[in-house]
Amino acid sequence: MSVYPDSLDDISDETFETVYEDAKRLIAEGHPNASTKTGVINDVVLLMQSEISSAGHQATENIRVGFSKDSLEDSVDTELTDKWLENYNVVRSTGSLSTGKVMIVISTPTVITIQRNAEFRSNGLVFYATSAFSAKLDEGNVISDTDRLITQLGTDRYGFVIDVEAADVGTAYNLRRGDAVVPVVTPRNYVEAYVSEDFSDGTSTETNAEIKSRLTAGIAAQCASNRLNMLALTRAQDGFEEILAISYIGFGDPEMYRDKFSVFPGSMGGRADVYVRPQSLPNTTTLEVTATYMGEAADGSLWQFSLDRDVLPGFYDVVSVVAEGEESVNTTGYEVTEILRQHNFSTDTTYPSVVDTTDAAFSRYQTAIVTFVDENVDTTSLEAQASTATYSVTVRGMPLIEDLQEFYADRDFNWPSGDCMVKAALPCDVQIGVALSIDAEDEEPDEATIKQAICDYINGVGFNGTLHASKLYDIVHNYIGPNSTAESLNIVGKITHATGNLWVQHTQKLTIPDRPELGVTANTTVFIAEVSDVFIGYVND
Amino acid sequence: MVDLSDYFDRTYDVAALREENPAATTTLWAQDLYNDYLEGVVCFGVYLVAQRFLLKFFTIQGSKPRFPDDGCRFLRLVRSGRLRTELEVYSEFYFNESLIRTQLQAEDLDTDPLDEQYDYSELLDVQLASGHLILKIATYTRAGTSRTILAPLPYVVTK
Repeated sequence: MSVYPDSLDDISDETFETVYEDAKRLIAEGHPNASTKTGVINDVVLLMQSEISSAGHQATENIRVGFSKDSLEDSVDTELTDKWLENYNVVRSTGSLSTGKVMIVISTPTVITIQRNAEFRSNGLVFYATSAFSAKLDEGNVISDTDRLITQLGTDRYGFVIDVEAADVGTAYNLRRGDAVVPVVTPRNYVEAYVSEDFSDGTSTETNAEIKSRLTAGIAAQCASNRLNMLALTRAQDGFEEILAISYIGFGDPEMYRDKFSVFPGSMGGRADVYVRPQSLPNTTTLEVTATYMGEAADGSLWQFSLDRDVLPGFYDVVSVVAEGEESVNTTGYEVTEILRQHNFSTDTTYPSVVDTTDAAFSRYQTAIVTFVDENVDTTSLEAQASTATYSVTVRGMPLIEDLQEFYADRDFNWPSGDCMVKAALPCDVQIGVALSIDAEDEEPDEATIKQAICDYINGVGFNGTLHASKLYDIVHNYIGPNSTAESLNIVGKITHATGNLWVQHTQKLTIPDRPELGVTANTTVFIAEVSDVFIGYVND
Repeated sequence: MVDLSDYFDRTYDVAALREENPAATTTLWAQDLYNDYLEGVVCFGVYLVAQRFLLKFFTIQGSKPRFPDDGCRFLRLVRSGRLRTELEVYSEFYFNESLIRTQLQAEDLDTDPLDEQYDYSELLDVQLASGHLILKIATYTRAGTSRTILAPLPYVVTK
């Protein structure tokens, strides 16, 4: 909408009322005997004049709001607001297209070509192949970047991976690993298609409310000083503009343990932990690892493998472990029993100081020893701590942790008397259960839209520490009919910290527990909601 | 016969309706905002109050932008041919007059002259003839003055 109202319907009753009462007051002042009650002067002159004047009044109000930080959320003219924001070095993110990889499963290994811009759909969202892809039978025929090798996934299941890009900007296009995708034109011997790795980079055009939340940093000087200054400096760097939330932990904060390194009690200062949420949802990456057989367990055999610090730096957890060659998406996988987080500074000349092994958890220096139970393998010929096997492992974590650490450790940036350690914000993965009572006169709600709206809200909360059910009720009510209600809501959260997990649950507000000794507080932990973790049920009246 | 002194210090409005025969005690009113004479006529006192009543009474409730509660349903019933007997016309008139009374009296101030304050209206006569519903209405001010109006409305009968 532009500054000047497009229609009289865009003028609020309150604005009209103000202008109308002013007009009556002025007429009474200039022409005290003219009737302003129901009649010709009132109905034909004052009301008409007030409607026209209201448009001008509304335009003035729109300009005022568009130039005001306090009422920025209500600004209707994004172009006007954007020009004003330029004065504070704040630029609205216009959103970006989500990209990702799709596994196409076929029943017979056949040479197949997927055309450039071939259309794929998932939950009503459209994606296009980024190039023409040729699926090849032999590795020797894979010559160009767009040649893809067909591999056997199982009995009568062969697959190859292609790259696709969203048709439009938006976080809704960030498909998750395992989501079903359907080609509009099915290739020969087609069985199914699914997302083989989480899609990334899909962002929505920034709303006024989102801009407001980072405006303070935009106004602040860009230097390594207080928290606002550091936030401003960070977001001014190429590639970091769209970081969703940053929390700085420093001297005096209960979460700060790295500055308690002296034989004397208390904090020595000079250390900062930077907890970052670069984007709404974590990414996943799948890699082949060599695991070592450790011995027998009650329900299978114990295996261990290590993850070095360059495998998705600052990763959260291991999503799945499957045997080599198995499809990690369609297989439940083996149970991970322990993730022992450590650190690795071996290739660095300078690095942040640590007091405890877990101080580097979720940072780019984090490494891990992962233990899991394989209940399928025959161990009769295996030798404990010597025999090895290859597994396919999928790891989950936030991007940019390594890049941010390099930036904060840069000699030009880092202040000389201390160090910064960048960590991925601790994840509180939430599951939401909503019970709806839908009136017979109302339309059936669009579950996908409700789920996406809930996730968009939760993933935008930042370092807040509390998730209020009332906000979620509000969101749900935007998408159900006027006679329908959200009856109840349950929120469960799983917080992953350096040494394990914490579970929280509530029906009214989910609060991050204050456990600084575990690194878990409102200043270090963010809520993460996936569409697949929102469940909608129905209550019969 | 009115003279200039009658207008002095009185609240006035532009007359939207003209009496066809001002000398008569009961006259047919016609719209006067857009006439052939290009002349402006003002009204005041009980004439002004009667005009206010007519404008409100013949405003279909919900039809006025920003003021959805203004008016009443009488004209809608007439247009849809729902008033088929004189009894129904009387009944609906008094029901809707009570709504209009509330709206008009909400506009009046206690400090207004009594002959500029609406008191009530009564339906003196109804004629259902030749495609028209003709209402003979008397509007009273709180000063006790009244004006009688003949309002012919095109009428549709539904069967």
